[in-house]
Amino acid sequence: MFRYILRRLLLAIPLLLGIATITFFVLHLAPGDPMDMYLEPRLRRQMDPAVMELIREKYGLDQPVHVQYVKWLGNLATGDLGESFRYRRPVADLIAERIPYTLQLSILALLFDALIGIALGIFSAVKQYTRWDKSVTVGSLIVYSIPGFWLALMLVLVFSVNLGWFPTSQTRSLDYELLSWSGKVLDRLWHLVLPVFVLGVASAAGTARYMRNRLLEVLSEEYVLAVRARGLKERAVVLKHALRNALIPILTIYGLALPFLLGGAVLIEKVFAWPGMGLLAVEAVNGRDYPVILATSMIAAVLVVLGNLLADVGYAIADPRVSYGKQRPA
Amino acid sequence: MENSDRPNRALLLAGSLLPGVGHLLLGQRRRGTHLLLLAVGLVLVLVLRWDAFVDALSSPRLAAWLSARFLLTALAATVSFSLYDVRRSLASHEHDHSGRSPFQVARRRFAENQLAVIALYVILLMYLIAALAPILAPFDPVAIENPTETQYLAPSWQHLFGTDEFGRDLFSRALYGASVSLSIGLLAVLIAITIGTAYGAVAGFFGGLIDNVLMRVVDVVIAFPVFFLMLMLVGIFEANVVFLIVILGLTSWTGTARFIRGEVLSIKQREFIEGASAIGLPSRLIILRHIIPNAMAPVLVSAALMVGGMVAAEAGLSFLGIGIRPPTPSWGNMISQGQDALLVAWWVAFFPGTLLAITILAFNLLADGLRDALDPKTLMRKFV
Amino acid sequence: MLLSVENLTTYFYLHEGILQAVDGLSFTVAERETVALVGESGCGKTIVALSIMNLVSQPGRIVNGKVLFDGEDLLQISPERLRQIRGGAIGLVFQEPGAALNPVFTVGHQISEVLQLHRGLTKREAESEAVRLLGDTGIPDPERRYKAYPFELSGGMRQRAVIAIATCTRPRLLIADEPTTALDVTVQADILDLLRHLQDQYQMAILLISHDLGVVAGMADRVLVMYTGKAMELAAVRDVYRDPRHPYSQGLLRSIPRLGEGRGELRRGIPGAVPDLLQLPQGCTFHPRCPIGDSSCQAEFPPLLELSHERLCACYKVNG
Repeated sequence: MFRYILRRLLLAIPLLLGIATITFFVLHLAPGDPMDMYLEPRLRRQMDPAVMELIREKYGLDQPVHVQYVKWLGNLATGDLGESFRYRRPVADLIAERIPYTLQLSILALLFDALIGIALGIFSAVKQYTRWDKSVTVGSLIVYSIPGFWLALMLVLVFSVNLGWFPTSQTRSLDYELLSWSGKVLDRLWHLVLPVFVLGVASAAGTARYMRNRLLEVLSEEYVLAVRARGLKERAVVLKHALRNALIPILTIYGLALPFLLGGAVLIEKVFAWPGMGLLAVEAVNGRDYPVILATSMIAAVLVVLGNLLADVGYAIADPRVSYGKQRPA
Repeated sequence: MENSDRPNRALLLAGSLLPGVGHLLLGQRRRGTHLLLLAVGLVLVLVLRWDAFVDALSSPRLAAWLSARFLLTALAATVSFSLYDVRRSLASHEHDHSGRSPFQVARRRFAENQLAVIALYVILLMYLIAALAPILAPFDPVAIENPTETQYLAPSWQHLFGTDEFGRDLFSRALYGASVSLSIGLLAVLIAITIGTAYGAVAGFFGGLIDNVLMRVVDVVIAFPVFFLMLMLVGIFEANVVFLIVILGLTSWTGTARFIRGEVLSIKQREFIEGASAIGLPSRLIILRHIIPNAMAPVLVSAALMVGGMVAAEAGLSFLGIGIRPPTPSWGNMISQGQDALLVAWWVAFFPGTLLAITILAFNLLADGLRDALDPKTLMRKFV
Repeated sequence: MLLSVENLTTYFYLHEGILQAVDGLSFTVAERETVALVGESGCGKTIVALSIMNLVSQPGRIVNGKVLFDGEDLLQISPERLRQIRGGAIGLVFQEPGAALNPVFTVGHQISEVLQLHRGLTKREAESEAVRLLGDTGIPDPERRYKAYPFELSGGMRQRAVIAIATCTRPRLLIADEPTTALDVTVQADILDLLRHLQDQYQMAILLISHDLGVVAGMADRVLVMYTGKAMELAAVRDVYRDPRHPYSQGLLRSIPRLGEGRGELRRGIPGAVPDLLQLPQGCTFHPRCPIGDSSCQAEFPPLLELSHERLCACYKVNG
C-alpha cells in the first residue's frame, strides 16, 4: 500500500507541473502590464522611473517570460509562492490564513453529502418504484439543479433576515472574543450551518441519485440472490452485502466531486463573506494580483490531485480486487 | 378506409392554413395541438406587441432587428410545415408512427417520459422567449429613467418581476438575460462538444504515441478545478460575451474527449469498421462516416447536461462580477445585484434565480429522458 | 415426502408480454433421493430452483402452485421461517461459482456468516468450523483459503467454497443448479464426487439441474425432462436412458456425443431451437420440432399421464 501511494504521488508530479505551466503562460498571455495593478497608473506617472525599475526587478518582471517561468518554478519547488501585489505580504502566509476556512467548509459539506446522500440513495433504492422513491429521485434532481449561490441567498433571506435563526454572513459573531470556550465553538458552528448546508445539499442530491442507481444495479447481481438463498435477513443482504459493493465506486465519485465542491465554495464564500481561498481567488482575479492567482490555482489543483489520490487509496482498501497499479475492474 | 370517410382534401388544406387544424381533423391530435399552440402564440405576440414589433423591424440594434425577422420566419415556417405535413399525410395515407428503427423506438420511449417531455417544452419555450425578448420586453432593459420614482418597486401587473435600484423593469431585464444566458449555454456546449469529439476521435483512432500524449494533456486539464480555471481566464482577459463563450467551451471538452476516445476504441474492434477498412476507405472517412455517428447518442445526453452546467457556470461567474458585466443583463449579474438589495427588495434576486433553476432543471430532466430513451435497460431475462 | 412441488407456475411480466417460465410443474423429491431436472438451456430450469426457494423477484412472480417442504408450503410461510429454511434446511449451489460469491468478502467470512446465523455458533467457533468444512470439500490449505477473496481462487475451488457454504448447515435438500457446467472438464468429475460424498455424509436429497445427460446418468435416481417450463417425461433414470418415451427425451439422448462419432454429427438430436418463451407454439410446445408431431398436437398441451408404474409422459402420440 505504501508503495502504491508513493507511486501515485510521483505520478502526480508531472500532472502538477503541467498545471503550473498552463497557469503561468495563460497568465502571461493576458493583456496589460502587471505593474498597472501594482500601482495605479496615476501614481505611476508621478513616480521616478528608476524606482519603477527597482520594483520591476524586485518582482522579476524585467526578465523575459521563460526566465520568469523557470524562476517561478524553482521558487514553487521550495514552497516560495512570491508576494502579493495587493496585500504586500507573502502569498504563502495569505493562503495559510485562508485555507482552513475553505477546508472547514468543504470537509463538513462532504460529510453532510456522504451522510444524507448515501442514506437517501439507499432508502430510495430499497423503496424502488414507490411514491417515496419517486419523491427522492425527482426531489434530488430539483435540488441538484438549483444554483447554490442563489439558494444561499434565498436561505439567508428566509432564515437569517426574516426568521433570524442564523447569521447572514461571516465566520463568527462580533462578540466572539467575549464568549466562553464552548460558546466560541457553538458560535462557529452556528455560522457554519447555512454555508455547509448549501454547499453540501446539491452534491448530496447528486450522491443520492448515483447511490440509488448503483445499489439497484448491485441488487440485481447474482451474488445478491445467492446471499438471499443463504437465508440472510433482507437488512443484512442490502446493508452489508449489497451496500459494500455499491459504495466502492462512490469513492471515485467523491474524488471527482472535489473540483466541483471547490468551485461551489468560491460562490458560497462570496455570498457569506467567508474568508476562504475562493474569496481570495476572486479578489485576486478582480485585482490582477498575479502571484495570488497563480498560487490559488496551484493550491486548488493540489487539493484536487490529493482528493483523487485519497479516493483511489480508499478504493484500493475497500475493493480487494484492485491489485495496485492494475486497471480497476469496470 | 372508404374514400368518403375521409374529410375533404380542400377543407384540410384550407384548415391547415391555420396550422394544426388539418392535423386535428386527420386525428393527429398531438402534432395538431402543438402546431396550433405555436401558431396562436406567435400571432398573439404579433398582435399584442404590434408596436414593439414595428419598432424592432427597423431597429438599428441587431438583437431587435433579428428578433423581428425571427418572428416572421417562425410564423411562415409553422404555416408551411403544417401545409406540407398534411399533404404528405394525405398522400401516403399513413398515420402509423410506430416504426421500429432505433430512432423511432427512442422517440417513443422519450415520449412516454412525461417529465422529460415537459422539460423539452420548457426549454423550447425558453429559447423562443429568449429569441423574441426585444419584442416581448415591455421596457428598455438598460436605460435608466427617473430612478428615484421607480426604484425598488415590488412586483405588480405593470412590473411583473418588480424593479431594481435604477428603476429598471426586471421582467424586461430577465427576458434579455434569458437570451444572454441561454445562447451562452448552447454555443459553449457546441464548442466543447466539437473540440471534444474531434480530439477524442483523433486520439482513439490513431492510438499509440499520439493517443498517449493527447490523453496526458486531458489528464492535466481534468485535474484542474474547472471553475477556478474559468474564473482565472474570464477574469484576466476581461471577457466579453463572445470570449466568455469561447472560454467556457475551451474548458469543458475533456469529458467528451475521453468518452469519444473510449467509444472509438471499442467501435474500432467491431467488424464493420474492419469491413470498411478492407474495401479501402481512408481512415478519415471511417471516423466521420461510421465512428462519430455511432457515438453521438451518449454525447447528446451529456450535451444536454452540459448546457445546464454552462448556464450555471455563466451565472456563477457573472454573480462574482467577472462574467457578463452590467449594464448588460444576465441572470447571474441580476442575482448579484439582488444580493446587495436582499434586505429591501427580495424580488431582484428571486426571479432571475427561479428562471435559472427552472432552466437547469429542464436540461437535467431532458438529459435523464434522453438517457433512458437511448439506452433501454436490458430486461431481466438473465435467469430464464 | 421431503419436497413436493405441485402445479408450480411462475411468470415474468415483461414489456413485450408475459413470459411463462414455469407452467404447472409438479414433482416430488424423497429423502436422500436425487432427482434430476433435465432440458435444454432456456427452458425454465433455474426458475424452478428459485421458485422452490421463493426467491423469484420482479418482474417475475409465482402465480400459482405449492412448494411443500416437509409439509410446509414455502410459498405461504412467514418470512422468518422461510429464512430459516433457506440456507438452513435447503442449500443452493449456482451454476457460476464466481457470480454466487460476494466479491468483496472473504470466502471464510461468507461461510462463517451462515454458520453463525443457522447453527448459532460464536464467531470463533464458526471460524474453525468453516476451516474444517473448507478442508472437507477438498480445498487444500483451508486456513489460508479462509482469508482469500473469491477472485483469488480458481473456478473449481470457488465451486467447492460455494458447496461448502450451501452444505455447512447439513441441509436435508441441496438444489444444485448446473453445478459443473461452468467448470473445466477435469474438475467436473471431482465436483460430482464431492456432491456424492456429501450426500452420503449428510443424508441429503439432491435436486440436480442439468442439461448434461452424462452428469445426470451418474448422479440421479429419477429424471424429470422439462421443455418450455413444462414437464415432458418423469421416470427412473435407467428407464429414461434405456427406453425414452417422449420424442423430446429421445431427441435429447440422441444428441449425446458418443465415442467414435465425428464432431460434425454431434448436434443431430433435435432440429430447430428452443422457442421464445414469449411466443410459444399452440398446443404441445414441442410439436414444431417433433419428428412424430402432426396437426392434432396443436390443439392442447398434453397432460402428464402415467404410462406404467412411476413412469409419466406428456405426449398424445405416445400415450395414445
